[in-house]
Amino acid sequence: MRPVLTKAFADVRRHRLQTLVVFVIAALAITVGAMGGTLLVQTSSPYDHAFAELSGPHLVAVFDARKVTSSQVAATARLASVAAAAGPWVAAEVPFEKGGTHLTATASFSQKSTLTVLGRDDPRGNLDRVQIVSGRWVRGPGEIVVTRSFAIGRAILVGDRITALGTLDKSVLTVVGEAVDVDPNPDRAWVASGLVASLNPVDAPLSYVMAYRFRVASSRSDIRADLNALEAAVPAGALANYSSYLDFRDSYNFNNSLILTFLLAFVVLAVGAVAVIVANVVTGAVLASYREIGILKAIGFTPRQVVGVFVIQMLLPALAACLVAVPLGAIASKPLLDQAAQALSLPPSSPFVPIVDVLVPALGISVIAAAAALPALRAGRMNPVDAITTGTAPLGRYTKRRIGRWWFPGQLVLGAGDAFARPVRGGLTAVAILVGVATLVFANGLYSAILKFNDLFAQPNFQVTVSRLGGYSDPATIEVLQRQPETNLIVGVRQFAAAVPGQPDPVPGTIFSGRSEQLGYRIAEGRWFAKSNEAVLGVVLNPYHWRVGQEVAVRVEAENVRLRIVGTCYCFWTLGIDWSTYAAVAPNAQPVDYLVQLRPGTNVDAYVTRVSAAQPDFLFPEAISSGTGLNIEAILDAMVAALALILGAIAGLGVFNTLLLTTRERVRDIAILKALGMTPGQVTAMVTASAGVLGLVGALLGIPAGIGLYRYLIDAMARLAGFSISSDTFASAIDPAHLLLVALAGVLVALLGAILPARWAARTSVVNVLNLE
Amino acid sequence: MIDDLSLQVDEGEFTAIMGPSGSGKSTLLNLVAGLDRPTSGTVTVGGIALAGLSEAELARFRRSHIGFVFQFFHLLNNLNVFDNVLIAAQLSGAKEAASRVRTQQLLNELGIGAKAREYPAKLSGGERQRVAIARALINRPAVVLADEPTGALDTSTGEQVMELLVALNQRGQTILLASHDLKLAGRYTRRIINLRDGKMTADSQPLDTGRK
Repeated sequence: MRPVLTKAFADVRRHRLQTLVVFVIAALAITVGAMGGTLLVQTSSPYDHAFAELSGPHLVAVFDARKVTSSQVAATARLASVAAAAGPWVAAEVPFEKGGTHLTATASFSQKSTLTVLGRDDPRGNLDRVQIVSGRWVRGPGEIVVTRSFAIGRAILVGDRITALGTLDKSVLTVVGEAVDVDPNPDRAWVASGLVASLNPVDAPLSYVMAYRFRVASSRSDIRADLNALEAAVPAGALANYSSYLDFRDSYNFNNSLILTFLLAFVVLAVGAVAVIVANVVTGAVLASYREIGILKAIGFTPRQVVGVFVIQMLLPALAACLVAVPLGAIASKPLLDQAAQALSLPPSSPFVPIVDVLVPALGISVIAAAAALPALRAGRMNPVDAITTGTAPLGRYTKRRIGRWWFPGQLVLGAGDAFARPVRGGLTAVAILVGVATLVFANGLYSAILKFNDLFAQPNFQVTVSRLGGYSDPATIEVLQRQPETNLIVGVRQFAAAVPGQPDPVPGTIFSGRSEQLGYRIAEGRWFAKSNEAVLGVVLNPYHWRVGQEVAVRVEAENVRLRIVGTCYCFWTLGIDWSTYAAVAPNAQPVDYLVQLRPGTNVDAYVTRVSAAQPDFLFPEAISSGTGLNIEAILDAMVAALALILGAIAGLGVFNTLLLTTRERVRDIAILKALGMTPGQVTAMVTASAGVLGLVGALLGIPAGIGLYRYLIDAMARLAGFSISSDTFASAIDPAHLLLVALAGVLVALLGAILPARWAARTSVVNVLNLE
Repeated sequence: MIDDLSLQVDEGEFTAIMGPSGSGKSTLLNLVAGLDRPTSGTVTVGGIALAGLSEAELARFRRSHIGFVFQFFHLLNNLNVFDNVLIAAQLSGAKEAASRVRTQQLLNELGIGAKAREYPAKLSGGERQRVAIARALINRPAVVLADEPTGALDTSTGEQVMELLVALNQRGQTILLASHDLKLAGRYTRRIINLRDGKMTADSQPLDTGRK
């Protein structure tokens, strides 16, 4: 073993550049692998992680305090189906305004919100824990804890003050903490338990909120059965609302699946590119050392010892790389983990995952060891004399070429021919560039698809939404809005749920009153509804795969209703119907929110201020921002930028290494050509031409590969999310001009990788190389 | 290394540079070819002063004024015989068609025309050296520099190569030959310059040229 280690260490010291290249490539590979592995593990089932960590409930039930007592609600914890319960907590829907004073004249869209306020003295407990991420929990009156998502969305910091509206005394509360739990709804807050009643708006009902873990709750049917038992245990109509963990998980998984799909694709691409380059680097280094191998064997090294020399030579920088790359990968994943957690309203995950931190470097080391061992094994079996006299691995038959008639300058033709003189090496390098180009094509397509997505789902033609709270009536609301001269159109809306016979989950929908067809929702197929019992489907979520032209039977407010699907639209709600359809089953219902279309040229903020001032306590106007707020863009942007940089570096290093090996093998030829009169500039051009060919081949193949990948992943994402749209919808997102730029980028990266080897080749000493002394 | 050497070689001369290993023979040829630069003094070939020429200018000078024949041939293994010679012409920018004709002519003259499509690995040492000579001559250089051209050949083949060089010289080609073989130099060359430790120790006519 000693001679093997002596030779290996000596080679590491002597071939410093090669050692550095292996170190950098291994470090990049393991960093990307560790980062990707950490992200995959920590974001693959974020809701499940949070659910376990925070002891999430299977069900959160909201009881109407007018129809049930706190004791009756607490007694439901003793039902046979209940394994654990927490609560009841008193709750109220409280309008708030940002700031410590009630400034009616300055109300803008971001300053008023309605929060579900729960009275809870302790965030811990055996069920439905709340995790403080900033500040502390409430200790008494005058304090409030808000969700982190709410704080970020409204730019509220710990220490800020918010004013509770809806009561005469307008209590001012100080935000003492930000928290997260397993409920994705951001508009929630917690106060001391005795404070809720004093914040509750006049005439608005209080609620009791209870959290449950059931003995059997793995499916929606189980949840349904558990709900039935709860309803039976309280007075009729007391159970006002509920949310199950399955709904939360689906919501998280919807967003998360998008992130995960693309993350997985990027990690696979990155690891693939790196594996190709690593194999290229180590294989090339071994192939170039045949003479040395022959000498080793001639002096007595066994084939196994020869293999050992090369494997150790490659493993030493790789092991050093692990020490740097594993913590680097964990650190690099932290911002993305934090962003993903924030986007999913979950607590941040740890960037250190033991299994990833062990497996990824082990895998990397194995790949490098295999890549070194395989060609070394071949060399180890060579006859020592042949190895010495050959000097380097024999070139393939495709190297024999004729100069022929040179359409380009001769040095470019020579260089281009050298690109695939070693087909495997050239092929691997071209593949690395192909992967880089394909990734860029895909990333560019993805970004354009997101833009197109936002365009398709762009805000329809209304500029303000107004929420009506408590006892303030619909006619009064309409009257306030119609008094504003800028009001052009008012459409009242209300959410509803349509139960589908035979299906466990109701279909959520929106009811529109007024001339809703003028709101300008973008129609994908068919038309907007024009009369009763017609419905429009949103393209995003169509859980029961209804089609245009289909008649469906649903139950709304416990009444049978037949709906005819007349169209689909780029909307985020599932089912849209006219108010006349709903009025037939719920004649006393009123809209809860109002979509207001303004006249052109209206100052929206001024309009919102005026409406807010007209009824500051019960009307909450909000200006609509453009876009759909697809908040994964930032995460994807960061991922794409990071991986594009890494892949570009890897591809460039791959070309660098290939040309380094090639010029080393060709040093004699280069010296001869220089002796014959090839100028340094022509030598540089010759070497650079090799890189150009590799870059061009990689780029030309990478573009269709990237387009194919883009279409496959967009379709996969749509399938995962249950979308009824596909990559065809976004096909036009790929701009041919961008493709050309990406192809040029691939060639440019290759040329950049050629700079140093080309300069070194141009400086070849004819005298030294040809031993002319 | 070379130490205080002044030398003039006239057009049409066949001069041998003799000396033991390390005497500076190859260094002298390298200086004439522009592959090396003197630390002091000047080198002028065909009226062109090499001092002050850039690397690229030296390369251009070399391709059109110098033909180099190496001891170990130094052919390009990936090119066949024809292309090994042609590449030198293409580097000098000569017209393609004319270069091709001249290449085949030279190969025929040197007795290896039939091997034009073979690759160097398939040739004998003597045949490779003939290819190297053809490559050295393709651009009609002012000077042919031959550095131990028979060093890697057997005696008989070496003599054949030397006779080729003599024939070239008889047609007016200036040749500078580096060799440690006095017998060979005495037989084939017209002038012998002896070097020792970089200094010229003798400049004389050989006693027996052995030439017709």
